[in-house]
Parts: sequence; structure tokens; C-alpha cells
Amino acid sequence: MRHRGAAARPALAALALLALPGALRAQDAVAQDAVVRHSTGPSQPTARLTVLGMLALASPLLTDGNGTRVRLAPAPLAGLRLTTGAVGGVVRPTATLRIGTSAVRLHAGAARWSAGQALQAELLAGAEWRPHPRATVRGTVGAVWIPGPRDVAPFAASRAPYPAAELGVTLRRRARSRTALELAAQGLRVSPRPGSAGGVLRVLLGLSHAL
Amino acid sequence: MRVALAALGVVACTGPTAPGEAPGYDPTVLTGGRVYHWPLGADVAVYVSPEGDTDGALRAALARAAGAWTATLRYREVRLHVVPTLADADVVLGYAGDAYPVRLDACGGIAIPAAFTLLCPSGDSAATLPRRDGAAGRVKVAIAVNAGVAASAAQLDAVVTHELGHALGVGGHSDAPGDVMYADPHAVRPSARDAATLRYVLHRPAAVQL
Repeated sequence: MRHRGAAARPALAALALLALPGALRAQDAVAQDAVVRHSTGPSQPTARLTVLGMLALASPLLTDGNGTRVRLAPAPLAGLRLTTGAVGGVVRPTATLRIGTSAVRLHAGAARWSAGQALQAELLAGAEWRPHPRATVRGTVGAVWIPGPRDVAPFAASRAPYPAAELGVTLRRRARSRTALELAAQGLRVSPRPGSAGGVLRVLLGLSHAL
Repeated sequence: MRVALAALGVVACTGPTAPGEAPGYDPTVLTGGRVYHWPLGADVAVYVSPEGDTDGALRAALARAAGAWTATLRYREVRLHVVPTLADADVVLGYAGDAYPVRLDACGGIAIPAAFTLLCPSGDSAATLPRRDGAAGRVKVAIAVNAGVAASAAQLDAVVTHELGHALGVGGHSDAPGDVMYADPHAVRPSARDAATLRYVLHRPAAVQL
């Protein structure tokens, strides 16, 4: 009996040695899982609502052949973003609503004058994904309404919304931070009458807070 | 993703544009080639002298003329509003006569002969026209209408609209009878040529800034 027990110890030791790499790998997997879990936070909710506060800067809405340019002053915007559950575990559908106002400014040579205020309302939908625990990238399309003074081009010709496409990024200081920095570049297509359609570039930056 | 980026790039590259315009006719014939107009974005105050305007026809004609001209603008280059007192006015409209509130013989230089629209250049600006009562004022342009010229309400509209065109910067006449800036106006509203001429002149550098 003693003889069998004595013989078993090396076998057991060998088994242990053989099992060790497996055990280590299993431990690694647990650690990795923990890292992943830690990085992405607790299991993601099905839908998340985020409050936005941003500032929009835009290129000219219209340039006239007589030298006049119509511009919007930097516009503070407030909004909400709804993000739902991941599709295929990677991409999340998202929709954004932002509203604000800004002054309408006219430039002609050295002359500068104001023409009242323009409301800005945006509705965009698309998808976002998280290539890094602290960053989210978002691509959306939709429409931007800018009803401005009715006696100023291009607002006078039409009150229809402008088609828009936007590329944005959310940057968090930590993976689990609810507050984040928001950056976006948006292109609008404006079709003045009379005139030729063209693109307006808007750069938006601000903060968001996930509720 | 690539499609979105491409769309952004294309959209952002070329901005929306509106075509520049040529004038319907020369707006500087009466001013020796000099352009004059109010500063872009100006809110111009107009006083209607009550002398002789007992039925308010002159005031009503001015309101229609002001609405008609400002409707031709695309960028709110000029706004017009009526003020109740001469002291607050940049432009005076009234029937010609001894009671006209500013001196119509105040200057030489540019004189718009198209029926009593007067402004006095002073260097690169226009001088303030002296008030008949001697009080301080800021009137730069005087429009005087001969009561006998306007035989009807429509004719009064035509004359007032014509003169207001001069007051805004059209220092010339059209050769087309359908234009309100025709020398003997019968049209009561600015035509497309009149509108193009005003829009053109407002965006030219002014030799005389009102």
C-alpha cells in the first residue's frame, strides 16, 4: 500500500505539472474576461439616453456673386441621444436630436450687419461602435432645419430641411465615465434659389452625459 | 463608413452660391458716375411731413413704396421705418412748398433732378440738410413731391416709389416705361430690372456714404 502511495506521488506531480499550463490558461482567460468586463463596464443596458450640450461652428450658408456672405454665429445646441442594444454585439443604432438658435450675420467686404436669429433643429440617425474602451465613433445621417429670417437668402426661398451627414466621436476619460467630450463634423447640402447648391461644413464640440 | 466620409467630403468642398447681378440700367447717370447708398444693414428712418397730407395719402404711398422696395432685397441690406418726428429722420418726404421742413436749396453738387430727391455730398459722405426751423436734425435725403404731379392715387404711388428708389441709391433712370425708375413713372412697383439695379448698386463701394 505504501508502495502504491509512494508511486502515486510522482504521477500526481506529473499530472499537476501537465494540468498547470491549462490551469494557467484558464486563469488567464478569467483575468482577460475581468479586464474586458472592467473596460466595458457592467453589462450594457438595452437603451441609453444621453444629454448633449454643444457649440456649432459653420462655414457660410451662402456666398453671393455680389460679394455677400450669409453666416450663422456660433450656435449653442442642447440635445438628446438615444442608443439601443448592440446589433451583432458590435454596432449600436443611435438617434440624436439637437436644438438651438444663433444670430444670422451678413458680410460684404468690410461691411458687417445682422439679420435677426435662426432656429436650428437637427434629427440624425445611424450607428455607433466602440473601437476603444474610452472612445465611441458614430456615423449618422438625417436632416437639419434652419428657419431663418424670411427676407434673407437662403431662408427666404424655402423652409425645407437640409440633408445632413455627420461623423462624430465621444471621448471618455475613463471607460466607465458617464460624462464625455463630444466632437463631430457635419455636412449639409443647401440649395438656394436662385443659385447653385453646395455644402456647408459644421463642426460641433461639447459635452455629453449618459443618464 | 467610407460612404459617410465621402459624402462629407463632397458636401463640404463647394459652398452654396447665388449668382451676382448686372444692373438693369446705369444707376449713376444722374450722379456723374458716383455710387451713393446707405451703409449696408442700415435702418433708415423716414418722416412724412403732414403739411398738405390731410388725407394721409402721402403716408400711405410711402408705406407701399417702402414695402415694395425692401421686398426686392435679398440680404436685408436696408430697412425702412416711419418716424413721427423730424428730429429722428434720415429721409424726409413731403409736398414741395414753403412748409417743406428742410431747406431744398441747401447745396450744390449732386442734385437728383428726377423730381425733388435731394442729397448734398460732402467728401465721401452726405451733409445733413438744414431744417427750416433751425433746429438740429440728421436728414440726409429730402424727397419733395409737387402736389400737382400726382393726379391720382396710382400716380402718387408711382412718383413716391420712383423717388424712394433715388433715396435708396438708384441715381439714374431707366429707358423702359415698365420700370418704376423710368423718367416719367407710371409703374407703381419696382420691376425686375429696378430690383436688379438697386441690388447691384447697394453692393458697389459707395463714393458717397449716406
